[in-house]
Amino acid sequence: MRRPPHLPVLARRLLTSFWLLSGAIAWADPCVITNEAQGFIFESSTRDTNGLVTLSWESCPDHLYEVHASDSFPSQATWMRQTLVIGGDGASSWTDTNAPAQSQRFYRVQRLRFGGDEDGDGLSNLDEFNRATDLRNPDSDGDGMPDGLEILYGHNPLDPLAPEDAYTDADGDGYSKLQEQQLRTKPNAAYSNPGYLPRNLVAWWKLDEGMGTNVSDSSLNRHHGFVMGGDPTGPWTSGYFSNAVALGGPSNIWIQVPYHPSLVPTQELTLTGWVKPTGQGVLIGNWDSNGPGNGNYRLQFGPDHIELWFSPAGDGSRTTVRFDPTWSTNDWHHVAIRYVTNNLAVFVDGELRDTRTVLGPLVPVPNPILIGYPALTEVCSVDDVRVYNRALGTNEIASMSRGNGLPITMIVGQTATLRAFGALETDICEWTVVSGRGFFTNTANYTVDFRPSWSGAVTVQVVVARSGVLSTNRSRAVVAFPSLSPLSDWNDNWLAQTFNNCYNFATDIRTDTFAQPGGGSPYECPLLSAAAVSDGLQAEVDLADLCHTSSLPAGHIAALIIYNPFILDYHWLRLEADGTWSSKPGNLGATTLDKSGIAITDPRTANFVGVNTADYHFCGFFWVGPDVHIK
Amino acid sequence: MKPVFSVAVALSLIGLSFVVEALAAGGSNTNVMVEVLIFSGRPNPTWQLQDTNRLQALKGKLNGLPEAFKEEPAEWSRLGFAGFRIHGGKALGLPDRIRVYRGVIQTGHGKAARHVMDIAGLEQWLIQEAKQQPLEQPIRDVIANYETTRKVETERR
Repeated sequence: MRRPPHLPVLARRLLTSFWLLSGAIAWADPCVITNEAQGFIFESSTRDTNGLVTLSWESCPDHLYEVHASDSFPSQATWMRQTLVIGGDGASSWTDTNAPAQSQRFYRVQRLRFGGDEDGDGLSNLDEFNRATDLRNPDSDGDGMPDGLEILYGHNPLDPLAPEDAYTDADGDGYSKLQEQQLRTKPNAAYSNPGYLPRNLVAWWKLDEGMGTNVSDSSLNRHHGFVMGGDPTGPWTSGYFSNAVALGGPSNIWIQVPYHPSLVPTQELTLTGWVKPTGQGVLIGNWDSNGPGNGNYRLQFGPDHIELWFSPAGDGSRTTVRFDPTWSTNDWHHVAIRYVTNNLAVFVDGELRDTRTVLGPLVPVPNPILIGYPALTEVCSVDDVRVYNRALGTNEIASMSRGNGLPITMIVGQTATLRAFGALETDICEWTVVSGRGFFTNTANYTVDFRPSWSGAVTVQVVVARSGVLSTNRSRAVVAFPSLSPLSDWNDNWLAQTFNNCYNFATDIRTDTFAQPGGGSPYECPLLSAAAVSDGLQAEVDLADLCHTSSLPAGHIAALIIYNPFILDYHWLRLEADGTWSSKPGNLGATTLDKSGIAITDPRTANFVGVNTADYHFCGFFWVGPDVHIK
Repeated sequence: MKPVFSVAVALSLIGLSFVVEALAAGGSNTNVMVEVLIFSGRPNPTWQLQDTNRLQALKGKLNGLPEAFKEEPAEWSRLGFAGFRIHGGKALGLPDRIRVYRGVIQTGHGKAARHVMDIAGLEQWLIQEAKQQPLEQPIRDVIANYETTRKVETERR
């Protein structure tokens, strides 16, 4: 279940600033904050015998004082923070040892409550002072994790590369804390995970940008890269999925990703990507580009070869795996490298082609990751490059490469672009959903967009006809809704059960306030729906046709029932990943059963009689996305 | 756990207990609250008990009442009227929260919950108390219907 953030707004309201007019000032009651700008300015013309400027003021014991300075007149000032001074019972002071000798300097002191949270990162101002974190920057070390979460999970909020930090997977569910933090799942609970991202994905360069010089990491781990070389805006080309990059050639183009230890997993590793081997290229590597150098891995390919350099020690010694894949040079091919328990394996188009015994573990070499390589003279194309810190199963790799692009796992609302494996544009392709529920859009013969419309397993089939010969390819995905908190989270804890109602449960947001849609609304369907929409829910979801969910962000479905006119009340339910519905009647326990004690498969037909058979009406389905905020 | 609200709630409940204790000691009005468990979305109606003698009488008997069942039945978490919950009983030497439904008294929560037979007539007393409260008419009707149903069930036994 999600939780609302702390209350930085309240803290900001309590913020007070004042200007110092002279070296020492006092308020009538310094501990009562009545006005945010009390108009005191201090000029540096008041100096002591050593030429230093000392500010002093009457302070309170439960406040911090933040001193700012500006060398411009206050009305044009750009205030620079100088120091934080902890309040006391009496006078506080601070000496500016860097004040310019001749020119005038102005000072501003802002008063902050200990318990406030200026940057809304979950750490109080006093906590930030004590930990030396920046109380005006929610992510002091810039690693993507708010300071408060770093403390909560025992990290160092001042070290962006701390080994135990954002890139680790504390709950072992295959997702880093950074990924879970961004997708609002619990980094410390395995049941709560962003099921629509592949597990154990460290980096995922889809290479779909199509323009510019930036390459995004879609794994949410922020390993973004840059196009380098003679024409860094020019590598974009059509890919196996959407766009791709054409690297090397006269423009000498490659992609560089800054080093991070997580990009060289030490125990288990899988590297995958699509290549069109029209010339010699490098799918991925961290081999030093200067001279023979060293690195941990590098996969080179060309029209007649695949060559893998692999060096766990990273000391220049290496194991080389080289073979001729005998592949077509103008088609896309899937290449994967897998390393686990001293076994190195190379897959081409889903087939295991070569293995080696190589002793690990890997010792990361702090080189940047390169897709392509400097000074390669031939042009080749690369698409959809991934790094996993897990050894993918042979079936998983096969499914990725030969399965038409259907992911191993998907979520309702997600779209996968599929392409008939081995098909040409001139072939006739017939796509069908063999089992499970889903549908195709944007059908362009050998490519389609596929969207699952229900949780569970789904199998997609394409029959390719070429010169009268039919070939069939099937692939399977497991489709889920996002992880919702288990019912026990709401039932085992007395506070959670008693102070949260059906709306809290259906939105999966615990507030302990018995939340009301829109903060309170008449108990009528249109008005309650509008109130829920004002909280961020999306209304009018057609459960029979979830086509429109393709444009919705990750989330889950909720349903609203109104009790009107006999008893004025309402009831919310939520759709679980297994396709059944659950709800929490008021401050009673959450349940998967309806009034008749039967599992709920459709809230429109289940028994939700409250106290009178004529008093309830189905109101509608809603989408609960990541931006829902209830009170 | 949402710490801000949880702590606030806990503190308010602790505070409430002190008030109740003080008032009970003085023998005057109490802050023991009765909640009608009826709504799913909107807050349930409550009233403040004026006379806790009936509860006081329960004090020594609760442990001796026969057990009704071990675990809370699934039908106790269903929509519609689901009994009464008494808050603040701790000041009277009783469990802080007591739920009364279908002739059973529940104390505690979750796996630690106890369910004993309401031989003391607590439910009927709460029904009579409810009738004296300015509750919305549909709620009064619901409680009246429930009372009738309970009588029929009791007579069948």
